[in-house]
Amino acid sequence: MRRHLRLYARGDWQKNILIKVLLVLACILSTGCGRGGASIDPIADVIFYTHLSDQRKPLDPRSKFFIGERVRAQISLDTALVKDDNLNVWHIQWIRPDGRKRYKKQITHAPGESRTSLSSSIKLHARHGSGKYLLQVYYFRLLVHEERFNVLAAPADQS
Amino acid sequence: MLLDHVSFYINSLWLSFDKFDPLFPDLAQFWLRYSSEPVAPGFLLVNGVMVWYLYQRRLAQGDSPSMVRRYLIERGLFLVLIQLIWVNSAWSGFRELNIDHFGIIGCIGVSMCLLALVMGQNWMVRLLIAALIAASYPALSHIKYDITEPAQVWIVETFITAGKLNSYPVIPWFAVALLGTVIAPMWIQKWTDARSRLTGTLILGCAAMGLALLIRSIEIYGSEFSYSSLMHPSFIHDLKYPPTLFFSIWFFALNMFCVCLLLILGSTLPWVLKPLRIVGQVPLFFYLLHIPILAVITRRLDFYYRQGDVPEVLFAAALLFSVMVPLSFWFARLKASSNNKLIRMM
Repeated sequence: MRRHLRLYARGDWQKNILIKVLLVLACILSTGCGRGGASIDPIADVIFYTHLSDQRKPLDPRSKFFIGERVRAQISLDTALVKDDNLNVWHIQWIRPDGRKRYKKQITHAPGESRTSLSSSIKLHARHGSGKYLLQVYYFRLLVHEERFNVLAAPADQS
Repeated sequence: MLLDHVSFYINSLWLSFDKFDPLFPDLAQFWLRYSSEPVAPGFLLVNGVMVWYLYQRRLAQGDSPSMVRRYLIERGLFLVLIQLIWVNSAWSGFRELNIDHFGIIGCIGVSMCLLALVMGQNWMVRLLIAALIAASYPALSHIKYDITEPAQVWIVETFITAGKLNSYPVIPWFAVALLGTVIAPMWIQKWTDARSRLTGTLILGCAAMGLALLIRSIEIYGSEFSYSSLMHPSFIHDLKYPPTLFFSIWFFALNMFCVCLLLILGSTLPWVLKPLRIVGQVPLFFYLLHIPILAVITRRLDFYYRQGDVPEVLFAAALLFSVMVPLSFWFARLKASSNNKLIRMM
């Protein structure tokens, strides 16, 4: 406090306030500087498939699909997150070969809700083009995982 | 603002970015976007301060309150017209006249007209109105309306909530402008010396920040996006379109801290602020010109349109700023020597 008063008395009050402002700004920015739960990839595995078995398990996982098919993604969460009982907000975003968004889905896991995997699907249309598609997984709006898959124009293109 | 607008045209993020439901591929992109979020609250705050200043100055010059109101409403409507005629078309590089859209300049214009109606009240009444609007707005922002009915869309999206027609609904932003009219007498009349101005602004900023942190922490009312933890960027990132209560108060606080920094820099290192001071003399000119420059070069001439990343955005923003400063300087001199009403209003 004495030092504080001395600074004012010496006419260094501007520096004093500047230090306070910078300290406050540093505190503010430090709240958002971490990556929290997103520092480690919380996704254990991503499987792309088209059909489920009778036991609701993905059949024939693959990384090549054809226009006209429906691609489904099953995203397995890391065990640490499966046990986590806090609210979790996920976004799954499908990106077309030209970089534009094809589809986005939000999934919110409320506290206490069962959570082992996330799922989403898109229908492949010719108008969206063939090539490398991208599936992105966001955790609290920050990207944590992405996975590519190929889309071919017709089954004959598969080699 | 400049950084965000450059990002809109240069940054490949915008190929898939949805400003109503934003997602970020990395922290650099997050901070790039975040750095522009205090701008809209800053615009409205400054608008409120200027309206108060103009109102007082005109009264002191002998104008009656009704004359000053008319003067302010005229300028507010001018901004609405600028939004519809110029700004909307400028975003596409003047490819088409696009009047079925509203934006921040229009929102400032309507706010200015509304401010003109309450400027006769004392600052406590204006603060009370701002607080009532801000506190009740979260309940209003989820209003249901029929998006196939143009009349409903125009009314609801102009005033109440954000949508394709308008990202800046007037009601919540008007509350921010009202706060500007409340701070103005403190800055200009009450806190007469630099020390009290700085200390007062800092205290206001800290109080607002405490309130914002309380609202965000309890997550019951006034915030939309969930957050992971205090240390996660999601904690300080909330919905902007339309602004949540947390957003408005948090960025009000950040604007107060920015004012403190500017006040200190202004008296200790004034040369640092010289380019900003030039731009600050003709802010509307700056706004109205930098958008079409970006749009024509990138979008219409298809030059690097949404192909870059954060470094390219920073470089392009610095380049555009270095072009805009001399242009602003030229226009400021023209404005000072011109008697043309249109140029004077800019």
